[in-house]
Amino acid sequence: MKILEIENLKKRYTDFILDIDYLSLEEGFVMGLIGPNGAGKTTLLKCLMNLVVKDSGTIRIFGKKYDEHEQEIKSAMGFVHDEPDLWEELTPLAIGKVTAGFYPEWDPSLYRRFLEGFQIPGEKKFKKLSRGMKMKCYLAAALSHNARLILLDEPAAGLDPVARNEFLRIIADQLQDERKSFIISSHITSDLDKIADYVTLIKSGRIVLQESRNDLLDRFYICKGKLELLKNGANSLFVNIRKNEFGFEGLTEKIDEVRKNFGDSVVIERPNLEKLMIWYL
Amino acid sequence: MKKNYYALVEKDFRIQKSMVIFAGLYGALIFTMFTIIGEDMNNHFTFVLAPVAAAWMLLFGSFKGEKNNTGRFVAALPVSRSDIVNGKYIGLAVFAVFGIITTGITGALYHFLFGYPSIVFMSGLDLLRVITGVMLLSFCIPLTFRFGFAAVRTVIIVLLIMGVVAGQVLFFFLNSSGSEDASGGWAVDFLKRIQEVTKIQRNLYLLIFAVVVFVISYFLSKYIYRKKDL
Repeated sequence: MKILEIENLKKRYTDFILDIDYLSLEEGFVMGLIGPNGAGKTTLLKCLMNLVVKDSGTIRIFGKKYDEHEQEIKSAMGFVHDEPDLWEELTPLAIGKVTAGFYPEWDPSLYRRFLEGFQIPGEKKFKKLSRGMKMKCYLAAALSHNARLILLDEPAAGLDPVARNEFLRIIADQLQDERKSFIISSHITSDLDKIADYVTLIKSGRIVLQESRNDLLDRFYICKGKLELLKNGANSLFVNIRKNEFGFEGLTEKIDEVRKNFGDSVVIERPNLEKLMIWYL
Repeated sequence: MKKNYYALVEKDFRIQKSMVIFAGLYGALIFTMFTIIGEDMNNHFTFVLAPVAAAWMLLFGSFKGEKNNTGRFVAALPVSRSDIVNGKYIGLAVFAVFGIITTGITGALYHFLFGYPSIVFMSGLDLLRVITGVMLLSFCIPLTFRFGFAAVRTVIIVLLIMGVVAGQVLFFFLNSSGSEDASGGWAVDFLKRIQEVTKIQRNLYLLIFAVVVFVISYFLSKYIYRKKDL
């Protein structure tokens, strides 16, 4: 079942247009949203929460049109954005009480368990928590109402490696529930390497790649070799190529042809998401 | 699916607990002040001032509590933009009721304990004045939706200063209108006309003005918030 379907979504700013022809996600999967700064990742996630007003297009979540079932859809969605802005004077426990009133399926004991599990002091004012604690508190609020689609916008940005690892562990735990789906926007592609089922690459407001992570990583290879190998139109074998005085490095989808042409004279590597993003963009 | 207005109003109370306590005690503060001063202040004035001031404080407290971009968090909750705007206006009404009740209780207590105020509870006309005052407060809701809490706070301070200055100017015109070198033209005429109508008429005109402000404020808020990118 498609949990998310976007068609012809457009959002115009004076100097930027988000233009998504089609994007979908099946229930129970994790989509990693990657791309450079200003590519439109946050705008896309905000469109899904109606935090920015789209100019045109259709968004269907849980098979329902967003415009017609906003409240019902949001009841089963969780959102964590890059800046953990919550009421600074309230404690995490009080934030839970405020949030509880909005969700029919809010589980106060689950929220408390999250706070304990994340080692967040429930009685300490939100403004006195560290950034990592704030993010975890935000995440606890997003996970305590039985959400089926959870959007995380740069959740690990600004966290130290230990906190980031813990954050990933929490998400991985949540993925045990096969009804839950995640869309995670992140610059830290190594995180997505571990958990994303699908990868969507956005550049200048448009989707340039949307594929399962395994297929994507199986499809592309990085080849390194000497410059003289690139004679006779061999450049056409590569999606992107970089040259320097020592040789070349290229991203290719045509690994069989590369092997046939160059044999053992090139070094072939599997890219990770970060390398792929850098090469592809 | 049921609307989350109750949760929205409850949120506005929960995010400003200390202000709720202060606003609840504001009536007592005013009555204490006038009891200590011992002046024969207008009882009705106190019964109108305290609830309107309480509603004002709570309305601003609710916006202040959301200054840290928490509007984004609220908009991501299961509420529509229209619900959020409606919730703010419902909240204003609830704040006014809160002010009326707390002022009523403290007023009655002070009446029986200290003899001031000389009336137990507000009159119907006082209630009308409270409603008028609270409706006028609504002008700052669309401004806050558009410009944010900090900008509106500055505007309010400037308006208050201007109000004091304007009051002084009107007072000057009114005083000098009786003398031979009376000046002021339209302002004096305006003030004289106000004095000519009955108290009820004056309050009704003000109420009509307040209703117009309220309606404009409401639709402006809806328009602004519907188009706002958070």
